[in-house]
Amino acid sequence: MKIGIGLWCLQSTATAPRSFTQAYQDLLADAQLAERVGVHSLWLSEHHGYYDGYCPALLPAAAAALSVTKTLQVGTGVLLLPLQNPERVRVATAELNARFDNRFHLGTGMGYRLSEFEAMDLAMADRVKRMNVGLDVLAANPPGKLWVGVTSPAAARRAGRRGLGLFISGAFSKTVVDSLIDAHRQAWDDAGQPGGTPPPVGLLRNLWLANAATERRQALDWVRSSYLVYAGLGWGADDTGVDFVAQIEQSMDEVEASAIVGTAEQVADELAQYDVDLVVCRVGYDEPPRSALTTVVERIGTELVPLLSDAGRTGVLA
Amino acid sequence: MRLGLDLRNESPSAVVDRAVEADQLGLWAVLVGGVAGTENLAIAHLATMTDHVHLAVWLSGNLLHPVALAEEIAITDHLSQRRALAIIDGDETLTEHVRRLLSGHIVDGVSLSPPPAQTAVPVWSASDFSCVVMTGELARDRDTIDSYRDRGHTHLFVSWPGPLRTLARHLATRAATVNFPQITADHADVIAP
Repeated sequence: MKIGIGLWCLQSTATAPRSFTQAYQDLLADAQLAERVGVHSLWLSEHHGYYDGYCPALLPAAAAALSVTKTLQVGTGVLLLPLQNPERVRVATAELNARFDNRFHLGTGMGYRLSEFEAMDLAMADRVKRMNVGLDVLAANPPGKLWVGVTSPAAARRAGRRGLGLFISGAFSKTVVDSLIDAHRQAWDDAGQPGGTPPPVGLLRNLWLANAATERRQALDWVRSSYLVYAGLGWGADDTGVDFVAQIEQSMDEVEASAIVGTAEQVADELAQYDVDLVVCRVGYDEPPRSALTTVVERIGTELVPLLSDAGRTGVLA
Repeated sequence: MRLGLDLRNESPSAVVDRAVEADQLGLWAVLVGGVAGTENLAIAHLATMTDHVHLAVWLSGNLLHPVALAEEIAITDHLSQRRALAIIDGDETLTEHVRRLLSGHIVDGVSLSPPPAQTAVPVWSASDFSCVVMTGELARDRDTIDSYRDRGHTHLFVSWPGPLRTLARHLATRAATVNFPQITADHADVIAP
């Protein structure tokens, strides 16, 4: 399996305020570091109108990261397709791949915040329809490597029947991950195996490399605090039926329970159980100091990547 | 009057090469276009290749929602560290919408996050600026520059067929002042060709 890093969101949060301009310059340095230490890919993430400046425009950010590297792959994990003109996304993806040696991966997702649809004068009720239309536009004339971010079997089937890659989001148990992989593969088979080659499967995992017990506890606290970003996003959504304030500790407990924190060998042992082509190591939390982030990226490249080169699926992303 | 280099009709590789050279020679700005919907990708690319030159983008305004367009421009402003400038070839309502968002206003309940790096990104309408094709014949081109400058233009984009050093030495300098001492450019051609 290939090992990537994510999610770069370019925020300035309440927990860790910083200059946005510095965040974008750090992105370039992080991409160069990831390439230097042998990481396969760096993945960006999108939201709109959130207080912390969560990156709303992934394509120019990806262009810049690709521009300062030569072999690193850069992906969107995910770009919110229903908010965009799909033909424009297709053309822009083709342009990135033409300009940067086919190193761009377009991961798409549906979005869930009403305010983001309203800001674009769109009805959130149309999001499934718009997602399907968008995926059809992309699949009809693929401009590069395409992934669909999923949290449900229905979404996995949406990707599988079009022959598109599966990008499984964050904090699911292995049982849920396996069921999503099965749904994706079954839909691909039922659709007559479009493309002829099984589409790739990618898995996002909250993780951190740490040896001493104190380092592990620190890393788990960073993972927990990162949930505040999502609590805020959900709180701002107002229509999810979830009481984010009341459930914040419970949600943090769930996120912590799903995180993989340990030595490179311990993390590799756990990741090797997954039948996937790509693991995106989620280390782009807002709270760790920059030195901790660059150290873990370096350790992922030099320690974790070699341990997993023959694990999981190999070949599709070679 | 400030002189910028119009690269809209150059190939992608020539755009990068000419923009890097323009950056080194201290030209005020380069102007980039591209297939509709991809223009900001070229700007993001150039943002990492240059340090000083302003990055003007010619945008076809009808493919993106004004909020999405303003968001992209804000990101290129951070990537370029405050060098973004947008020219929108679209209706004035859309242009004004993008301009207000990039100036920090709340428009229809939406504010830009992140805001741009500049206090306000310049957003011009296509009719707000002039662009001329230079011939490469300095005698004629000097007259053209003089005429725009003396009519009170503040900025002018030119396409230039020759070496950029000649443009920087003879015409960007001339554009910048009403009393350009031509002898300095002519003698520079002799001592530092």
